[in-house]
Amino acid sequence: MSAFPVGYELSGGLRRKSATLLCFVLASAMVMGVTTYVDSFSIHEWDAVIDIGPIAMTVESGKTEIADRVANIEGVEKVATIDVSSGYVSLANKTSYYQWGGSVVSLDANVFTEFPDAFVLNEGRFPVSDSEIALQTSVAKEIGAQTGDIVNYTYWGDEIQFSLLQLVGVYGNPDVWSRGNYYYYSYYIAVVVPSLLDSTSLRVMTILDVDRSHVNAYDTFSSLSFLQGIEESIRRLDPLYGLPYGSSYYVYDLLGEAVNSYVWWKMSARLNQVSRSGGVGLLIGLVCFLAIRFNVNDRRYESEMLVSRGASSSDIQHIAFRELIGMTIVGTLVGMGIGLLISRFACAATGFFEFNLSLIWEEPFLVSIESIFFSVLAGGLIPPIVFFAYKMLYSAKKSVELETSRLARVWTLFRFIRWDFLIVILASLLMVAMYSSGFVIQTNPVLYAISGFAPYALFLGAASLVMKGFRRGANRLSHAMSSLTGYVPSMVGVRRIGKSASSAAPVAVVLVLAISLAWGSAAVGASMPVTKMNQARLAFGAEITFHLDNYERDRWDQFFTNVTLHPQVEACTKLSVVSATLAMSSMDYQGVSLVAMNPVEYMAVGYDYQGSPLNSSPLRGPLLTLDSVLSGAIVSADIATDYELEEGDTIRAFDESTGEATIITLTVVAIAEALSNGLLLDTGYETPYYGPIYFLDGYYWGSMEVGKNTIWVNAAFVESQLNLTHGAENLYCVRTTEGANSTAVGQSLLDSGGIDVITGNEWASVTKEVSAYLQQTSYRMDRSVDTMLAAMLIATISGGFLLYASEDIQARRREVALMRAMGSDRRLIVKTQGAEMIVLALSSIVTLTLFAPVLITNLLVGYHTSYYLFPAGVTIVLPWLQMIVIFLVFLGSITVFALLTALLSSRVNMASALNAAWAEAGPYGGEL
Amino acid sequence: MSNDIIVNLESVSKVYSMGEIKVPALRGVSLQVERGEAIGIMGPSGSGKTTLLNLIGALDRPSEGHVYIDGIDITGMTESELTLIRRKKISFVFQFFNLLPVLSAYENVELPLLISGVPEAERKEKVDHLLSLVGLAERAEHRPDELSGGEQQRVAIARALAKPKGSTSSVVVLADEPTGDLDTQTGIDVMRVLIGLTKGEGGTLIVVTHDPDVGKQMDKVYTMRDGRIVGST
Repeated sequence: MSAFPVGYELSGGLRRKSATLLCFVLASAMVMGVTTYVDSFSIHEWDAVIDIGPIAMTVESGKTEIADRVANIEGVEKVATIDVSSGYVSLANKTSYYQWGGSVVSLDANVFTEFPDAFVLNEGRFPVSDSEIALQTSVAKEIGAQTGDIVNYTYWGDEIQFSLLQLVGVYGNPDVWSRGNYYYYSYYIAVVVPSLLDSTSLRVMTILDVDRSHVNAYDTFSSLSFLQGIEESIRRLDPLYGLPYGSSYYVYDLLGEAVNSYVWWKMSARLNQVSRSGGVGLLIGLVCFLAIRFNVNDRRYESEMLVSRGASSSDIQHIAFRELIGMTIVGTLVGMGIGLLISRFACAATGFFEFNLSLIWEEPFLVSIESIFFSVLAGGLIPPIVFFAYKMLYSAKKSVELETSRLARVWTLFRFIRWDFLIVILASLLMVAMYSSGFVIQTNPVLYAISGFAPYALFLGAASLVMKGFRRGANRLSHAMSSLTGYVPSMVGVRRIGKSASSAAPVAVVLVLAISLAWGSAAVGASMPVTKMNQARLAFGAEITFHLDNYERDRWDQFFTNVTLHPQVEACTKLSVVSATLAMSSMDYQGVSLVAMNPVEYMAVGYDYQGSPLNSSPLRGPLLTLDSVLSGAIVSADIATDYELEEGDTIRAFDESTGEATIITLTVVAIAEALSNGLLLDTGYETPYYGPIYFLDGYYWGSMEVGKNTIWVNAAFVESQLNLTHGAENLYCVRTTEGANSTAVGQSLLDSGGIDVITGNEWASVTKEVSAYLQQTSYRMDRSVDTMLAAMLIATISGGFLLYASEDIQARRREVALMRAMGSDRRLIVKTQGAEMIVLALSSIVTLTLFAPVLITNLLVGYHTSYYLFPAGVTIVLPWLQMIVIFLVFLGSITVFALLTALLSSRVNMASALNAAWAEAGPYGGEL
Repeated sequence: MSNDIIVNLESVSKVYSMGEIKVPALRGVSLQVERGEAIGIMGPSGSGKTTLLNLIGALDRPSEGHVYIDGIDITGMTESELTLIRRKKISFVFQFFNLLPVLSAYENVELPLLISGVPEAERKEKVDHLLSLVGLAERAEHRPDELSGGEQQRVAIARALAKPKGSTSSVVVLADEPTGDLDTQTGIDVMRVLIGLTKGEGGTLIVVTHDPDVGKQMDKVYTMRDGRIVGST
């Protein structure tokens, strides 16, 4: 029988339980907050991905008609059949013969009844006789056919068949059909009547839609199960199903692909955000550890008292564990509630600590089953895991101190090699190696992941050294501080920090990491838009760049006049970019961009690779030289390295665009780190997405190096030797006035006739690029989660300080009472507390000064804005005001706790405090 | 009142409130202790011994009656006045030693002298003297967790007598179960040091104890029951 009354653990220790509960709440709140935010935000993705058009699935069943049987499957709502065969189309009676192949279909009336949006006529009608054909819009465009034209329709049956058919209509399919795998199976190039289909390749395609109310973002698992159930039921319609070859009915589940696509997107978004939350997670783990330690130490006397009254150790263990489980359950539930609230807070964030509060209500709200599962897992498992880790650590410590085990010897060895020092060295070396390595190493996912954790490893090692420093240097520190704080406060207060059981050092560590992380988030939030702007300036060569259509040469001047007259245009100039070949004796040939310009004009328009206007950058001097030395050349550093060029050297470039080689001889007047050629229309995308739906959406790959392989030359010299109108890509570059929206300026210039003189829609603007970057889902999510985590950080350090304060009151009230019993007045007591806090704050600031730059640099370097390689990977912008506010907020939190601690500990009942038995009753002098 | 009376309690009562319930801990206790005397206070648990000690030590205030220390009525004093009384005239020795764990033995003994503003040279002389009297001169730099229970209590005794030069004769050392956490032999040793040192320095000793053997070493022993002094030997 237990020696305690039932429910004993539910009474008493309110302060301890409150502090512990707060720490436990943090774990589930963080996970719930992050996952719910991702879930809620993912609804935008869901809406986009799930918009697949009217057909949920297609089934190819050879020549067997199965529509009726498919219609009987539960969950299937609409069914129609399309007969499909292979064929080719081309425009007849034309000299240029261009043939297009694909699936040719025949449609019955049921298709139009059940799926009116599957085949939508853009023009004309569908064929009704064997002399007519309708083409898919893009196919008609490719072969150059218009309604009324005669189309040559060919297929390979038993023998080749030609038919000349009149094009009677042009139709479109839902956009999504041109994406992903669907593209390959269901790209229907033409519609003909059934008799024109190739009977040898004829197959029946069943198209169907399902009851989509069973498919929702809340429970994707059930949604997929529902769809997979239908797929399986269709496969089972094949009488031979189950034999080694499976089903001969091939089901393509477009809706299932969409749901899968969403699931993977969400999973990767969650993983990304959870991994970005690693630092906060580490802090929460640390605070939970402190909470457990506080609990165990706080209950030690009580436990020993109970043992002395006949309780067994296992009873006490059960009580402690029951209490822990109780607090874990409550902490998890409360944490989930708080997580839901802060996820709304994150939804309202439009940047780092920038809010649009109406979004709290307007943004979608989704709590998925997975979110609940992960939150319960985090909230429910972290405290028990930390508890057992603590027990193991304590037991190991005892064992080591008693030197009874092999562990003692291992520990001695471990201490001998100074593990923390070793970690600091290794982590530092790794980080230095990463930062100074090339692009290939920096973008290696494994090394990138390792480098992401390196600062935390460095931090843990450094924190351990700081704690040891506190312990070993407490006496010296107290002597050093005595002149500042007074002898008694220094002797008692400062040395308290060095007490091995004190939470002071861990709390200082928590504080430093919290401030560093919040600063890091602020720095990333401020640096990325500026980085993107500077990268766009280099990529485009100006604020706005128009790619001129060489065939519209006659209209350029009018356009240039329009641009010049625009009130928000500060300067503009034309660049002509020639693809040339560079050769030196004894060197291989190399393709380069020769950018021909008016140097003085371009100086007022362009930017250098760091985003500085050329007229105030180090390139100003070389440009003036280029203006006076007509045959001069400013060469990018990579070329100079490859060809071992120095200023004054001569280079020869060959232009073969006109069919015969023209040699241009240039003199190097300057070598620049990177030079713009103005040709790019974007700055690259964020992480490529591998989802099945967006497979062909045109992401850029590889590591295109921007600003390399470029030579700036004087147009006045080059145009005398080359035809720059036809042999070059011509760009018109514009700098707008300060504060102008370059996108709006560019658009208005296009609207006033500019669209006719540019190639396609090829123009780029810096603000358009930056705005698109800032609107990216991943960027918005990062900033919102950073905001949420910063709020969590404040809660985390509050938890840490609450523990410290609670531990402080308890452990120190006896000391305070004792000092007062010896005749100390309140002033001396407060000074003693103050001395401790001053040392804690000063040491935190010193550690912060050392660690924050490392973490911030690591965060910035590790944050990719593009898959292009820019010479300036990041432009570091430190938002001082925001950082000072963050520092003050944290400092304010500490001050509040310091004041509370001082207030509570000075209100000690001396009689009870001094007679209380909270003495060092533990077998190892008290606490771990 | 005689000048040799250093502690004088006049009809002192103390009532604790536990919510609505009033619990009388002392009921009209009167007691006089002469300077240089060593007295013991015995009685069962809950008889009011510790409460009596707290009132004499200015750690608590009486509900009724008056407490005089060295002729001064401390009953109505402010907290800062009580602080000065404790600094000059009161010292404590506790059952659980109550040493500051972050300080060495030397520094623990030095602390009351620092609080009293004693100059460094005098402090050093006094601390060295007291530590050698309690036999811990060799252990001066050790911290409490490096000392045995008996050694810690001897440090606490030395600390109790660390008062400015010339004022030890007006010091009242209050000891609450000073041997309660020690084994028998160590307890005997500690009591011998406590009594010898207090008397040697001219101080007055009041010891609360359950232990009859401790009582036998006192000049006088008062017995308490139900908040009253019911006898003396």
